[in-house]
Amino acid sequence: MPLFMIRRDLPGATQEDMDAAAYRAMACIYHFEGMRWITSYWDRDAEVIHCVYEAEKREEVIDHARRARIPCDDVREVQHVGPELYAPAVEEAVATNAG
Amino acid sequence: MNDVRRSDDDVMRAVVAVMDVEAERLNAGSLTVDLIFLAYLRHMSRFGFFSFGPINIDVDMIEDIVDRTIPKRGPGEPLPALSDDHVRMSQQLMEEVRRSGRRRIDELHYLLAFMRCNEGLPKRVFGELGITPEQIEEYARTRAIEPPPLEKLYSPEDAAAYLNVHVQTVRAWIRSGRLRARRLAGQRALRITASDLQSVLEPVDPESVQLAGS
Repeated sequence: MPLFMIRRDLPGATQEDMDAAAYRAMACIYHFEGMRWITSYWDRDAEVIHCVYEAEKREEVIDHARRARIPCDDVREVQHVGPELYAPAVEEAVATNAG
Repeated sequence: MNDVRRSDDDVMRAVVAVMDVEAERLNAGSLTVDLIFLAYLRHMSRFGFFSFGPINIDVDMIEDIVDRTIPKRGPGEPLPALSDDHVRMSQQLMEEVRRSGRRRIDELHYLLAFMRCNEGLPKRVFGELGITPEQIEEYARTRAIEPPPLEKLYSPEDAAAYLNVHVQTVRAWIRSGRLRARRLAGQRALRITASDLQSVLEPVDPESVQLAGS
């Protein structure tokens, strides 16, 4: 399933606004088969939230935001990178050096 | 519906699924607060009625009203989005969640949000019924008879280890009535609840404790 990074500009948003927006995002997600909200990072100083979603298509991510009445200022398909992907290689290198 | 907090099911998911069905059936052009209200009542209804304490609502009647008043979706129009009043209701809903201290959205949160959101059909219905959210909260409180949390149970050996005494001491205390214990049904095995175990620990008068003593 493709992964998308979504930028949502939220000038002046409070915690209450964020909670309600999260509810609406969840309430509308069931309509889009296979769509999953993976995680989000809210930069309160920059007044922006970056969300990571799994979805079939970019258009669905945009339509989901329209339906849920949440901003959607940029959508980019991205690739997940994390330490768990590299852990075996790192462990192997450490073992080789120790030997 | 007999208990508004009847289960740990994903209420939001269920209500939203009903809303999608109703939106389709009524050819709704907007996901209004009236529509989510109808979906909630439909989800919670038994035999066509929503009943909770003093509230009794004919859900088919609500559906008729929503069908007559909701903006209709024209041909080729995109999927309906949440309306402004629905967005405001979502804020009230999350306010109810915060107020309750229960993190998971439940049926009572929805009901109180509809009563307090002061929007559309919910405002009209609860206004006509003359019922306040406070009355519903009180009703829900009196109904919420939750069993006390299960206590950890100790065997005499566990209890001895916990109290740092010999197991024979624990058994002697049980025999003398100083420590309360229970038997597992139909068995000889003894068990002591955590609170009974605590009861043998008496607070110490600081003046009675000598510095060099134990």
